[in-house]
Amino acid sequence: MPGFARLFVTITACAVALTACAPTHFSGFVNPGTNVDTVNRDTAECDVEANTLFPAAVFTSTSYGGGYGYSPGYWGGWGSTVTARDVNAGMRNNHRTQCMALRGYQPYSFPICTQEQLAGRSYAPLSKSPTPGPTICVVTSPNGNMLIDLSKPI
Amino acid sequence: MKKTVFFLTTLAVLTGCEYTPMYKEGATPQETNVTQAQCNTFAANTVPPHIVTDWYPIYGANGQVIGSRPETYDINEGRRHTAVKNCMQEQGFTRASIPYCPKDALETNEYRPLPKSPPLTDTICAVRQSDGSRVLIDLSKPVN
Repeated sequence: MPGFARLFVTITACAVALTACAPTHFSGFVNPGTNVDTVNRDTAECDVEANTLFPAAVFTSTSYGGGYGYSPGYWGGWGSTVTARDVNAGMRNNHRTQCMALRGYQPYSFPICTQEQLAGRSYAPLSKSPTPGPTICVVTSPNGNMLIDLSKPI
Repeated sequence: MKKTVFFLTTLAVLTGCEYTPMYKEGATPQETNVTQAQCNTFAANTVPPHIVTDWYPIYGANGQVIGSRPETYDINEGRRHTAVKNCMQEQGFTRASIPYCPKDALETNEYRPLPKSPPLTDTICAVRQSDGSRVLIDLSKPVN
């Protein structure tokens, strides 16, 4: 394969791999009509409460793959893997959800707006928690995420 | 081999029949979860991972050592779990064995999850939830 063709294949493969791994949804909470500042404050307070009651606790676990026996040419064992995970993560997430539920919010997975949907148009961030629908999506940026309504370009 | 299979099967059956949480009479699920989480964090901080690698010989077909293989593990893994158990015990929790509820009982009646850990009697049993957690119910107190 010529050099440029190999490069093209490599770049395409990387692009496909990156696209496959990119998140398509953003997990948040919804309580239609609530002011965004209130949503942000409630979210922060529930985050703090959940993080305080259920702080990170990294535990390891060792798994032994294979075992011990005869493999072509030799006797012996093979493979052990040490993995680490935060054993409090599940309880923390549950508490955050319950905390938000007590304030009237439901968990919701918003789709992330695609470039095709945005089509170069500009949108103002929603000032209130929306009623979920096909035109509501999230614009992500390093400065934070914002919800927009695709049916209301500026 | 047969003995091993029988032992593992028996172990699986025994493991499947009983829920063995750290238990404190009168504690709410929230209190139990918070204590568990705080003890997890205490144990993770006081007994941090200490990864070591042991090397084991690889024997050739004629019995001679022809190489070695690594086995990596966390030497503190067991101590960390012991630290959690001790921490929970200091907070008044002890290991309990609670049977899982028989399916037929759950099919014929409806039950409410108990809001607090009750005294363990013959009518108290555990139900697995879809998220992997368990709740306790009292078979002598159906809702309907």
